[in-house]
Amino acid sequence: MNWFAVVASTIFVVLIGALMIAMPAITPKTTPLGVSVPLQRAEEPVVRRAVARFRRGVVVAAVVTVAVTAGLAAIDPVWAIVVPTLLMVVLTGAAYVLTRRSIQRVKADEGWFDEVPVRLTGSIVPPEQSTAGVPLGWYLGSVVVLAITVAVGVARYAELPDPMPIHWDAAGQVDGFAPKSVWSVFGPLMIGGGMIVLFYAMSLLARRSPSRRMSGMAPEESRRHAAVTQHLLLAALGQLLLLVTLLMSVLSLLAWFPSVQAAMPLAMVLFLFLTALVLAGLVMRYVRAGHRVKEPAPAGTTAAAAQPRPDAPDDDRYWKAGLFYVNRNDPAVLVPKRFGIGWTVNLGHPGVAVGAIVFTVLIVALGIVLPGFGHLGAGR
Amino acid sequence: MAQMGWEMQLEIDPRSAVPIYQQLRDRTVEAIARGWLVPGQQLASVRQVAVSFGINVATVSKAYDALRQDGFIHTNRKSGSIVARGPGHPVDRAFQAAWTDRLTTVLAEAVAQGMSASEIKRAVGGIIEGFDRSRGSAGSTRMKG
Repeated sequence: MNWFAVVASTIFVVLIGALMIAMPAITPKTTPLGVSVPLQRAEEPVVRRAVARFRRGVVVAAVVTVAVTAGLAAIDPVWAIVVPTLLMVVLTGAAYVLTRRSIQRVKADEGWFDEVPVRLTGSIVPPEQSTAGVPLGWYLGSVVVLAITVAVGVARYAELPDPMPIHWDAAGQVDGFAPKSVWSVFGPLMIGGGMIVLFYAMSLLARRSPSRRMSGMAPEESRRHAAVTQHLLLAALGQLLLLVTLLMSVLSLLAWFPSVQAAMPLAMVLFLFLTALVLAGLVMRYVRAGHRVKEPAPAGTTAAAAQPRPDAPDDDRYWKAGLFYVNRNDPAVLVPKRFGIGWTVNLGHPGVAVGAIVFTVLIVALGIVLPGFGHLGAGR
Repeated sequence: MAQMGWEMQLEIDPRSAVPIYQQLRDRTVEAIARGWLVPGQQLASVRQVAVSFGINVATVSKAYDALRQDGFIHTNRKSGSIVARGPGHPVDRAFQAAWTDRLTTVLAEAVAQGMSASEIKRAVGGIIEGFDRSRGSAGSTRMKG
């Protein structure tokens, strides 16, 4: 039965759709749909219409994708998981690229940036150290979860099945085995351990990410905006890490003890649901924090801080499709995202460009090699 | 002092005819006059400044060269760049001569455009007063911090 594939990809599609519909609300006012506009033009009718059209496009994309999923599930459950996610990403991407054009057209025709002063702003004193700490509790929890599972594996090693199930098909049935070894028994837990290191590294990077003043924002407002973003992203990273290590532990236990293997689809759906919950929580807290950031400056700050600030120059030409930042003159590796929460890389940076190519090659190589392993095992 | 990075934001007009490195140099000198930067204070590295503005490293390097040339900053290979001038610093004779030349041109522009002597004096006094006021409040913030 393919209910698992259908449920899992529907959750995925709804999750992506909900995030995309929420996105314009958490994007800075001066970059609606990733188009840079002067603050005084942020509420123009053309902007509102474009955002509304984008949201309708996302709903259409989700409906089409779920319909295609149901059709595919009847044919092949594997396709029913891979295709919908890709289809949803491509369709929402198309909605984004098509709807943002109308803002860009009117902006160029009416010369929105010709009539406002623009300034590049920055500082020549060393950037202050971020006060946001990495929430170590989630990391400690992840380590404990993995340690307990490893302890169970070591204690019951003699009773574990040989060969060991290492691969499940899209319907949640085991379709790949490997001879029992330290690698086949503890492999997923080792990946979990690697994830802890990776997430910790990402957290340190997020702490060091440069905070630039946002267009049309006073410095104090910008500072609070950057601090809130860092704090929420660090928390979400920690929560996601705990979910990933929990998943790795559950997968290990399912592989070790055949009597509970039927719970596999349930575990996957639960994992997706909790991931959706963490992301929804991040978006909701971000929206609420966004209102707090706009509160008037506390007593004691200078009046100058409360005055409206000049807009940042129109930098649309550096944002390919409003998503990818390519600016050879900018030495920054990380820059605040145009559309979304957090940071993105500057593909114009030589190091980043090389890294992006290596990463893509690695992903493609893994995509070719990993399924091969599963099928090799299945042949045994 | 901890908040200096955010309160002391320098602004550069990318559409101005004045080159960006020159604007960066001028805004830095003004920051010293206003007391936002004080002698001995650590400056960000050239790269950090370039990242903060999102501009070319070479542009910032040129601005730092210009500041160094006029003695406003010192750069040490180990400790980086620090502010080397400030109110109360003994005035360099050569600087004063060159500055008087430039000021002569600026004042001549005002006179040639029809500004009266009292208008010019009022403008100059206002600017100097602004620097003093800013230094006073920057000093008190620093005390509190």
